Amino acid sequence: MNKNFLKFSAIVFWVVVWWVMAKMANTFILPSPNETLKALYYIVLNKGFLAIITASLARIIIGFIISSIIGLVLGVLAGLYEKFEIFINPIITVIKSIPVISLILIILFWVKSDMTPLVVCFLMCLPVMYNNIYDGIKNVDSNLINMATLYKMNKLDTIKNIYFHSIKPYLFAATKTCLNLGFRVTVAAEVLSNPKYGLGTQLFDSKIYLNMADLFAYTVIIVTLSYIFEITLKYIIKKNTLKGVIYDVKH
Amino acid sequence: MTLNIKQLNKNYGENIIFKQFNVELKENTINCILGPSGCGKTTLLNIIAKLDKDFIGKLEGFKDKTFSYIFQEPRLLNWFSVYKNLQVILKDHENREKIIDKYLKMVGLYEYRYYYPHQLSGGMKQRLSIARAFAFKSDILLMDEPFKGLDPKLKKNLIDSFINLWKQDKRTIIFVTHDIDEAILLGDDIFIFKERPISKMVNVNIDIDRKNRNLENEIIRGKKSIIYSILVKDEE
Repeated sequence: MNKNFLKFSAIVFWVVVWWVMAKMANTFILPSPNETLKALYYIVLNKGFLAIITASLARIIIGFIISSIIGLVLGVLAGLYEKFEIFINPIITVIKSIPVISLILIILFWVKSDMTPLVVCFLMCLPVMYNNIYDGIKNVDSNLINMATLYKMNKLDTIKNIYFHSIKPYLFAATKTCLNLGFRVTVAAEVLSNPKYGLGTQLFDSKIYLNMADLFAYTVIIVTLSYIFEITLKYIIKKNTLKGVIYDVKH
Repeated sequence: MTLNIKQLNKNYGENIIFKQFNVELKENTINCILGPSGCGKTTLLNIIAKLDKDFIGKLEGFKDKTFSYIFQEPRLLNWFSVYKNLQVILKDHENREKIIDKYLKMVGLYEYRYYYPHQLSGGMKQRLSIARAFAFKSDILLMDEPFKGLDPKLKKNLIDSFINLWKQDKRTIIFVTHDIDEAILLGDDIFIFKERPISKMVNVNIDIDRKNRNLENEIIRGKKSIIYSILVKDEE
């Protein structure tokens, strides 16, 4: 049987399960798929919707970009210089160990509520990016480094020509994890910090007003956006992985 | 002109590789080091190339020398094309494009210059590694069993490519192998290593023009049996 058909059937099956359960339960507790869709329709048509998702996406993307740049630089330095790794390791370990909720509440004390989700996203993604890049640098083929040394390749060219390409798979893995994580923690931080615009704020409001259909609809929006991110990333990774594998006619 | 290695001592923990070892290598010739696998031949090359600095001893004549190296495995950058693999090691070279084209043509890879390493056969990859070693202007070329594990026809092709390149650019070669035929076909001087720890070796000079070197040649066969008997005697 066609694999896509199977996948589609599985989705239909679970939606039916949801529908049946909603029929049995109170709408107040579990809205049905059509009620959720209706709520989704009104949310999307609402004037403020674009501002809400733009605000959340901007926080996720900016937080991710900052963590990527800093994580990349720190990871490369720690991978190449042991002393730097010893120096930076304690702070990375501390950030990594703090529970998300504690981090959100701490950051909320320090920065404005609009900025809290971005800072939390950055701090949660940083150790992931750092660790992956560090592992990537440590796993670079030492034979290639010896070859580069012998052929008098300078440090910068060695990083550009060998290290960068060797850590690509680690960079992609980290990006995938970070975007996924970034989405979740940013929305969670928005729920707690309540910025003017944000998907998390909407989740919180829906909960306060006991509007379960809206709560479900926003959750569907978050999952869909996260999925679009993942597909886009997969496409970028595929395109980059094929480079160097396919016969390249251009010079 | 000679290159001297004097009083070389090298060990990996309790495993002694070289003990008070001396050798005198000739410049602008092919110096071949022949010995059984695992006797320390690669270690010697790495010491000469300064990739291994953990040893005691004197290297005379190697200071300020530049090296290129044909490794046992090609050590190519798989993410770059054939052309770019040479381009990255010739960064500041004048006429870089001409040099790359010249060496790729010499090893028969010019048509494949936009291919990536994974699209090449094992022999083609090793030819690229040979082209890289010659394209890079070095004083000494180190070769670590570059023909190991290749089928006889391919090996012959590679040896021919190598000899062609060397005839046009007679730099000092230090060539390591465990194969007597390879040593006889390529070497001017053959240094036969004994089992570890290596403290002395036997030197056989192959004083025959390369044009006449084939394994059916009477003199070559005689030299081969001498080398063989030295190796077997060593084992006893």
